[in-house]
Amino acid sequence: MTVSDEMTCEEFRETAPAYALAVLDEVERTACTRHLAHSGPHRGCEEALEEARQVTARLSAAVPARRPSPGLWRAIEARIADVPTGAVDRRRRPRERVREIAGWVVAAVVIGLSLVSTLADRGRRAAAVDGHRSTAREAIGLMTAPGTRVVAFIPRKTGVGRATLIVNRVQHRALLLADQIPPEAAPRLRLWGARGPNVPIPLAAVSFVAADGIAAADLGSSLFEPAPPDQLVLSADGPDAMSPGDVLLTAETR
Amino acid sequence: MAIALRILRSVEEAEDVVQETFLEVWRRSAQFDDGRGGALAWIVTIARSRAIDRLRSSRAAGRVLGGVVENQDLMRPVLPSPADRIEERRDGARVATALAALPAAQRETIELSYFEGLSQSEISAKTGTPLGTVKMRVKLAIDKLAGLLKEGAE
Repeated sequence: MTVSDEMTCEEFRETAPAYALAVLDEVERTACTRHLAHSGPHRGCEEALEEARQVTARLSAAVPARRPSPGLWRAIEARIADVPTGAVDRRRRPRERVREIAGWVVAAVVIGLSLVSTLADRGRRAAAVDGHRSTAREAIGLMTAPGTRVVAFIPRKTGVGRATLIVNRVQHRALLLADQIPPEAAPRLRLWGARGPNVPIPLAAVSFVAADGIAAADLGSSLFEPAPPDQLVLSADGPDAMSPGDVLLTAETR
Repeated sequence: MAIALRILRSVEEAEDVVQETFLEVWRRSAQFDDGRGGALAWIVTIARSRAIDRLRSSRAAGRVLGGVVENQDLMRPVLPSPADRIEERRDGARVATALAALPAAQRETIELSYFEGLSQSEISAKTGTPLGTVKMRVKLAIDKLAGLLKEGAE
């Protein structure tokens, strides 16, 4: 059956290996992209592409690994931590206006307060940047480890953000990442795990680690003890009980 | 790093690609829907795609990339465990064995496409092989590799 005027499912399946390899010319690549974007029905198109992608991704293992220059990871960390500083600057402007009006005595006090405030701002910002870098390093380190899987959460309401679980069953390590979580829900963000019909149990509180709104929870090995849950629930609840009305996103882990 | 370096043949350009790749991975990590594949496969796909984009834009601009490539070792923001290293070497050996099992013409096509970043048309022009034959070799090679890598994993 044809799902596009330009390419049939059979033609797409024939072309899927070249599409996955990114060796098609522009016209063919566009035709494949349009075919995939068509609502269907499709006959094995995504499956054919997924299989080809799995093969092409594994081919990189044949290339001897190489160490980059020592500064590369520091450069990546610096760019990851490159968050806007406008909020801090805006808070300081009213104090500057007071200093002009009130003269030298008031100015001295304000400058003193401003210094303390600036140092505190810098301290908070430095801690946030450190946390951000540390989380990014953990996440990328875990994602580049063999056997790591990424489990996507499904939103249960509109406008509740996105989340994924990065999990490595060999290392018994798991890290939750979320973004675009509504500000009102963020302070109460909590991850729950459920097995079968049992009541969900709290696994971890989720803290905000970065000015770009990415939230993270390092689950360590808690996800695997005593056994991995069947379902994960991200809610905006307190620590004691989960209210179904506060469920934001869920994920199946099996 | 290795795949970007293989495609671009420039340490500086490859490191730029690695930077862009990890930034994209971090910023999109909460949106990533893996489904059946692994996270590493996703990262490698992004890195290779960015390297090919860079290579093709360089060619379009008439620039030639290249440089001294040395210092072979692992690139990892967090050092891999010994078990990880062993698994990586095993996987590398499985893939190399599968590639070696391909007919020579198919293997050359994969070399030129995956590792050199050439399009099917460019492979056709470079080797003097009809475009239709190149397309068929790509399809046959990937299908055969899929079977061989599945066997190797069992």
